[in-house]
Amino acid sequence: MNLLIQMAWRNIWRSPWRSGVVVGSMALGVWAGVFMMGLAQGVNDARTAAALDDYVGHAQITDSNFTANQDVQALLAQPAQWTAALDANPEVESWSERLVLMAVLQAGAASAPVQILAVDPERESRVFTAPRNVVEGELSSEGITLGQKLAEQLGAGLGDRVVLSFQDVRGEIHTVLFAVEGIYDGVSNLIEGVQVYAPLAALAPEVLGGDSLAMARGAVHQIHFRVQNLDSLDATVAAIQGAVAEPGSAIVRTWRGISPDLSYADEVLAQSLLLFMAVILFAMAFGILNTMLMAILERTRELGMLMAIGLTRRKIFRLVVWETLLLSFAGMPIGLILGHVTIAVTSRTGITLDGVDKGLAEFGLQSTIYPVSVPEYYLPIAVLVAVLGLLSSLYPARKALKLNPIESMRVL
Amino acid sequence: MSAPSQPLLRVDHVVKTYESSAGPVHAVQGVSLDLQRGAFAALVGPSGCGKTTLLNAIGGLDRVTSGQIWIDGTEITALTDRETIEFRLHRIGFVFQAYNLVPVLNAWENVAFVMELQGIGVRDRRDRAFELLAAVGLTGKELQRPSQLSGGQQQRVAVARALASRPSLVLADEPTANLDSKSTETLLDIMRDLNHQEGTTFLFSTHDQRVINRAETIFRLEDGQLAR
Repeated sequence: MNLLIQMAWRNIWRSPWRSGVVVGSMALGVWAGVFMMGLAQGVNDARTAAALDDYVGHAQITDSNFTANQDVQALLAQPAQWTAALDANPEVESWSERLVLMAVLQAGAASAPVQILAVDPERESRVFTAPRNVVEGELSSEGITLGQKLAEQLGAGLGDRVVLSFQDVRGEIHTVLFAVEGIYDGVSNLIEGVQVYAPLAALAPEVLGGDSLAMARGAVHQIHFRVQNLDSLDATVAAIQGAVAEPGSAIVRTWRGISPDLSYADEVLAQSLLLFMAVILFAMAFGILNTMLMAILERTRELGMLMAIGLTRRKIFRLVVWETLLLSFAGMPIGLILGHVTIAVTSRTGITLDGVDKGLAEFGLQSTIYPVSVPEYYLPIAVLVAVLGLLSSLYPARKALKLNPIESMRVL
Repeated sequence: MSAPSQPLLRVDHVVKTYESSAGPVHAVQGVSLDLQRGAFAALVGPSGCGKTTLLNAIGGLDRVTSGQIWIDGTEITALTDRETIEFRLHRIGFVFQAYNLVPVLNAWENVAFVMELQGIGVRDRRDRAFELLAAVGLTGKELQRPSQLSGGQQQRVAVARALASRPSLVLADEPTANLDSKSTETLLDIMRDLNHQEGTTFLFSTHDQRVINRAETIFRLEDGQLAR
C-alpha cells in the first residue's frame, strides 16, 4: 500500500480517543440516518400498501373519458372481452367490476355527498380490503354498506333506511331507497367518510336508465384487478392489453397512474431521506474538520520536517485529504451494519407508536410500524460521506499547504 | 549555467537579513566558502551567530537576501520552489537536532520514506533501508517505532534516512545536541565511516567540541560573518 496512505491511517490513531469519538459519532450518525430511512420507508410502504388494498387497487381498466371527467355516461365498452383477458392471465389474482357514481345520501334529516361503488360483493372483497373489514352486518347483495366514519356522521346504523340520489346515464335524477346492511371500518378515514358500497345487480338498471342494450353488455365504469406480483405489474398489464382485440377508448392504468400522489410520494421520500442523511453528515463534517485542524496544529513541526526532506506541497495536501477521508470512512461501515441489523430486527418485531394510532389511522395505517431495509441507499450514503469528507478536508489541507518548513520546525 | 569551479558546495557572498519588529536582523553577512567533495566539515560558532540560518540557506529551506549558493554544479538560489524541493529530495540529506522522525513509521519505513518520494520500488527501498540501518548499527531495530528507540538510536535512524537518497551533501544541524557522550561518539564514528565508505560530504552546524574535534574542515562564524 502507498506509504502516504499508510501514514494517513496511522496518523488517525495517534490520538485514539479523539479519533474514536469522531469515528463513533460518524457510526452513530450513519446508524441513526439509516434507521430513520428504514422507518420512513416502512411507513411509506405501509401507506402505499394500505392505499392499494383500500381503494386504489393494483390496476384498473376504464374508459379514457371516465378517467378524464368521471362522466357517468363513459361506460367501458365491451367489458366482457377484458374480463376474459383477465381470466386468461395467470398473473391476475382477482378482478371486480364497478359502476361509480357521485350521489347524495340522505339518512333521516342528515345528508352527505358520497361516492357510490356499485359492486359484486364477492368479487369486490377479493380485490379490496374495505369489504373484508365489515364490522357490522355484511357486504350485501341487496342493501348498502357504509364506512364507520360516515355512519357516525349521519347517525345511521344497521337496518336504517337511507335514500341515494344520483343522475343516470340519460341525465335523469333517480332516488333509490336502500337499507343499511353493513358497516366497514379499519381503512383510511378519508375513504370511510365518502365511499359507499351498493349492489351492482340492484343499482345497474337504475344507472343505465332502463337501457336494455347496455344491460345486456353488462356495462360498467371500471374493472379493478389484483396481481400476484406487483414487481411484474407492467408486464402483466402489457399482456392484458395485447390480449384484447378491440380496446376502443379503454385504457389500463397501473396504481402509479391511478394515484400519482402515491408514486410521487415514493420519489419525494427517496430524495427527502437522502437530504435528511446529508444534513446529519453535514453536521458531522464540522466535527471532522475541527479534529483535522487540531491534528494539523499539533503536527506543524512534523509537517515542516516532511517538507524539508522532500515532501511536496501537493503530497502534504494529499496526506491531509487521505487522513480526513479515512477518518470519515472509518465509522461509516459500522453505522451501516448497525443500521442494517437494527432494521432487520425491528422489521420482524415492529415498532409500536402508542399515542399516535388515531393519527396513523387517518391514513389507514396500523400503530405498529415495520421498518424496511434500504440497501439501495447505502451507495449514495457512501458517496455523501466521501463528498463531505473531501469538503471537510479542504480547509485543514489548505492550512497545511501554507506551512513554511523553517517556521514549522521551530514550533515546539 | 555551470559552476565557476569544482567544489561540491560554493557559497558566494551570501547575505540573509530578516525583518523584525525591532528592525532588520543581519543573520548572515556576506559569507563565502567552498567545500570539497567528500569533506567532513563543521560550521561552528556560538548560539545566534547564524550557523543554522546559513545551513538552512544551503539546504534551500530558506531564501537568501543576496548572494549565490552552488551545490554540485547547480545554483540552488536560482531555482523555483518546486525545483528546490526536487533538488533537496535527490541531492541533500538532512539530520536535525531533534531527530524529527515520523512517529507513525517504524525505523525502516522512516529511512525508506525519502526513497518512496523518489519513486524507488518497494523491494529496493526496503533492501537499502535495512542496509543503512545495519550500517548505523541498528540491525534488529528495523521494525521499532521512534518511541521505542533511545535518542541516540533515533539520531542514527535520522542519519540513515539522510543517506537513503544517496545525496551529494548531508547537512546536520546540531546533530549531537541532545545526545550523551557515548551516543555522540558512536554517531560521529558512524557518520565518519559513511563519509569514507559512501564518499558523502557532511557539513555540520555545531558548537559541540566533540564534533569540532572530529571535523576535517572548520568554518567559524561570528556575528554572521566567517572568521579567518
